[in-house]
Amino acid sequence: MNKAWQGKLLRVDLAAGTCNVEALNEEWANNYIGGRGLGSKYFTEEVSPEVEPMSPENKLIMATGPLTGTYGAANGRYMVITKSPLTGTIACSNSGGYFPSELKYAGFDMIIFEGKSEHPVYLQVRDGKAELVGAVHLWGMSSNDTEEAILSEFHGDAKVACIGPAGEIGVHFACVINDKHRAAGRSGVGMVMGSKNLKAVAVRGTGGVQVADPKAYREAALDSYGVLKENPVTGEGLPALGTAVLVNVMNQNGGLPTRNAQSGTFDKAEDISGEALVAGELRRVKSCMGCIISCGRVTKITDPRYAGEGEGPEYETLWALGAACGISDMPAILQRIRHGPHLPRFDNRLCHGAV
Amino acid sequence: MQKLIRIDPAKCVGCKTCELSCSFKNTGEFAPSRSRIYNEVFIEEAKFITVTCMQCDEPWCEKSCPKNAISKDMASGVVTVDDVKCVGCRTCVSACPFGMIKYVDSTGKADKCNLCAGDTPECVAFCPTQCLTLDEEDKPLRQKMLRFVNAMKDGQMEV
Repeated sequence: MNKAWQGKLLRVDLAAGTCNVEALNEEWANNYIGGRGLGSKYFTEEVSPEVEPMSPENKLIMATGPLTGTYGAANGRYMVITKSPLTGTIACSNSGGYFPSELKYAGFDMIIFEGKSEHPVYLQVRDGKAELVGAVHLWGMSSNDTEEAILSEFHGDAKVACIGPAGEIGVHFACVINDKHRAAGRSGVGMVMGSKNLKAVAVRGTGGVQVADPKAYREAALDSYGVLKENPVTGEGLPALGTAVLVNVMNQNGGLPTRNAQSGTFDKAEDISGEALVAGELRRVKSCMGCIISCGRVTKITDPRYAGEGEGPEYETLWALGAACGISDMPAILQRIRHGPHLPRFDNRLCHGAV
Repeated sequence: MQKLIRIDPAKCVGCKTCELSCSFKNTGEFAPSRSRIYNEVFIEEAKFITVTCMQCDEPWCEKSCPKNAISKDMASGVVTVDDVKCVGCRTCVSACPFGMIKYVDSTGKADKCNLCAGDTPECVAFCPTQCLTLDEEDKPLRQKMLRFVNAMKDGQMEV
């Protein structure tokens, strides 16, 4: 098997409350590329196409790839694979942050959740071992508060992926949030997690990830940095302006969904652009684990109407809650993605559809 | 002056590439838990703090070592653990007030930054934002002082 795989997956039976460690299928790991390929293979082999997304027979897979946990080009990501309640077909939603790498360091390439727990639970994973613990006290909490609570009761250095109230109550575009501000946002994977009464996954790992040829890998990683730095999007646009760089670009190309997509251009696009963010609310740029692009934005709203701080927005936030709703008030848009006790975590893009 | 890893916290983006590159070079694995440099992320406060051994002139780890396994090289200024002499008693771990020397289970020895023993430190080579530099001069400190100076200058009236 490729040395960068940990060669182990964690199978969690939520109905029985058990966690079992299994060897990764070596043939599949070699034949299906990355976390998405391998996770999708497991999913399609184990879940019948006739299974309803919200039924206990649906499974939820969190999959990393062989490169997760290493340096190189944007490697620190994981996939949430399940049958989507939105589309009724296979979903593959992905996210960065620090959680995916931590799962590798804990010794697992993948977690497969099966069945449905009777009561709210969350999974604690620590260096090759895992157990389900009660989460009744966390149910109803925002994703931010959930993470804080788990860090204080489980391990201060744990990395957490969880759902907020949106996933619990069955919003069709609920996210799985990790590291407070990173989202597996597409396809409503948070709703499936909620339907299984699974509130969160907390991981602490102190192990490492090996590669077959360290010297060659180092050279390849440096090459990938060169490619990213020379590319105008990953070398200049995203580091300087974040994914919000797209607001002005899309507006100029007539592709910025405006006023519920009645138009492709927004006359106030400047006000909600990446450039406006840099001039106003941006405090820091931020990367995910091992990624050199740094498209994350840490922002602070000083406007007294909406004062607050945190990470975001992304391009999707700005068009979906901004242009598409005809709103050009940046603090008002940012306020919507800020955490608060009663703010569920939605996929911004799909939230607009509901608005 | 001694060459040291100079850290400009304002340039850090919290990617932990320093931890990854350090552990990969020195242990053969990508294992942040075994890195000799530490990158901590505080998202809400928008602060990223990176720390590593400062290669003290009078190292507490060196003074405390009962086996004289730790020494400061006079030419390079690097404080190094001699793996042959180290018995893994962890006295140095207790002595360092900054927590920059640790005990490694798998080797049974004390472990700390040695500035990659004469090579360009791997964390410096891989840092994507030049937050980390290897320099005799503490340029980030001078820049910080100059920001203050410039604020004073802008507030100064002509007399």
